[in-house]
Amino acid sequence: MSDVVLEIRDLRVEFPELGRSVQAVRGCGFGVRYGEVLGLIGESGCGKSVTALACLGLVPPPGRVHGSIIVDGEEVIGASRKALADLRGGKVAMIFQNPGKALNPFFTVGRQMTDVIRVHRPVDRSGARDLAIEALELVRLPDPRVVLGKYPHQLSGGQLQRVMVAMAVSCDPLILIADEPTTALDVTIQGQIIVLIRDLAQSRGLTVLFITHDQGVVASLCDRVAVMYAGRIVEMGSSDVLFNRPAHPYTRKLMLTAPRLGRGKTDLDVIPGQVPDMRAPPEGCAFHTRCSHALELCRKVSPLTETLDGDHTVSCHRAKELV
Amino acid sequence: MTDQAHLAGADRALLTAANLSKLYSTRHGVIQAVDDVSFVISRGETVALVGESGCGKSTVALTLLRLIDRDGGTVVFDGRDLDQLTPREANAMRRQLSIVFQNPYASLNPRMRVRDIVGEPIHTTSGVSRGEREERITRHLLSVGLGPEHMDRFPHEFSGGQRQRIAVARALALEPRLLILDEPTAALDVSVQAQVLNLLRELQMSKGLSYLYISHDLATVECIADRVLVMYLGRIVETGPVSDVFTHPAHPYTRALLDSIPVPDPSQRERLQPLRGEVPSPLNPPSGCVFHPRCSRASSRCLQASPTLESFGNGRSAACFHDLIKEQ
Repeated sequence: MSDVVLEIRDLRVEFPELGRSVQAVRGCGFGVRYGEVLGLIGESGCGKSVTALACLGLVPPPGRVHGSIIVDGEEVIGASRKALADLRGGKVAMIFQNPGKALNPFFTVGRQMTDVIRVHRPVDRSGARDLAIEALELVRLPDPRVVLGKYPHQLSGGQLQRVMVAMAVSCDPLILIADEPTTALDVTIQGQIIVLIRDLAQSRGLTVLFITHDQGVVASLCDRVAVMYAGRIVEMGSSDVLFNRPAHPYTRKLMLTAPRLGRGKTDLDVIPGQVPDMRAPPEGCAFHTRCSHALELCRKVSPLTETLDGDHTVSCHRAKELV
Repeated sequence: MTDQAHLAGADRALLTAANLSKLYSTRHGVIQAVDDVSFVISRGETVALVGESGCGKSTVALTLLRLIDRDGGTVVFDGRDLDQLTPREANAMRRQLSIVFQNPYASLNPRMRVRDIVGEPIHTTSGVSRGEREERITRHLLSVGLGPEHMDRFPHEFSGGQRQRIAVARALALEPRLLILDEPTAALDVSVQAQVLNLLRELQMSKGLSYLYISHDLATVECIADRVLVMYLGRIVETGPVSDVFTHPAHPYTRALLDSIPVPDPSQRERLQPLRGEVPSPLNPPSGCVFHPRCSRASSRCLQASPTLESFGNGRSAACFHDLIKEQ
């Protein structure tokens, strides 16, 4: 699998607490291929953000990380500080949900952008400034020179998220990890950011790992989708397959909860129950507590990942009979 | 409720807001946050108020509740002008209006137990006995799907969806007739959003509540609202029954909002047509039609004159010089 630029194998992340530790990620594994946009979707608390942080070696203490994450042939878990410094922002860039909190309010956009660029690229101050302007043009911010002189509070949420994207791509990373970058934005601005990321992926061959809980955003942006539940990937496949022929009962339910226009004033489908408490995740298949197809087997034995066809994989005892 | 019922007579109106306006003076000048906004909410009806951040939709909500003072216009609730009330009457009237805020992580006091969060409004407004209060708290919690075992817990012990249920229970504590829902699901997951929206629909049917539902997400508006008001830069640009407005929008802004919703279907990916640009600064609004800098149809007329909200039948009206419906 030489076309895989980011590979996660059996990732486990725990946060020790006074009583039982929180098992945020429990054996998550998937690969992201060169130039694709992979959507990582799941409910709050399923471990998707922690997985993303682990890819940059950013899991906050006292979190303990086990398993393997290979970015462009190099292991991230247990890597040296020097190696991590090169990785962050250089090979892998990340943008966050709230762009207002991700920028330092005391420095201008220009100062923050050029600082990042000078860490990763062999340029002087004016060279860095040119690269920053180039990056701001790339994300289609009008008047990039003016934007460089602004402080974060002088820009709107949509403009700030564009600045974040510009900062992320300014060092020419292999991979962009986007952690719910549109959740805090208006629908209109969300659409603009989706189109922007789609264009960047196409024109620059940027690999994107896009984390969201919004099915609409995934459908309009991602080539492939990985569905995460209680710290594991339960299903993965192309967007077409996952939206039209989902195999896992959780994916099926999740797809139905999204409101879509044209249905009129009706009740929405819901997934009964709650996301499990990750201090004591259910035995067997973690979804069995909310699944209408659960058998005795599902309560006891955790299902293995099976390949259905092509690159469509699923972890469910009953996937084949339910399809 | 259908639109016919809405047209059947003004006596069904629970709340009538006429020519609301709100000005904010800032260091840099005066902002007209709400400009000549009028609408009616009938009994048992859900009216949605939609628009981007900063268009004034939350300001409208706050003026209705008199959490901020308005600078012009009248609000008639249940046949009585809110400005003509004595302070005592105004207080009684306030119990009939309530609000659920956007972020249940910020709107619930982290140091109060659920029992006190829901019980506080009952305690401060009515002299009911302790037993009666407990009984009411239990009933309200039950109606939002929470049990007595949750009463003594703190907000941090609940998920986002459950917190929003607590906020709804608090809003219902005084048995209001009109509930203002200010983006009640914007901070929640899509799967949890569905649960909360279903709950709100259920409560409306069982209690005969009226809702003013504020949102920027038109997909959720469709599954909860009867009529919709589309707001842009402090003004209403289109109104009408949800099904008509969403299938045949009359204002280019409504069309643009509809086209910015990502559809959960990969084959319809190309339909996502985000609106260009951002909401202009209300300190320095554009000339003529305030939407013209972002509008695909703007003509020279739109740059000079500001269109007024014109009614064109079937309970619909729009403020645009172009006839989008005829063009379709």
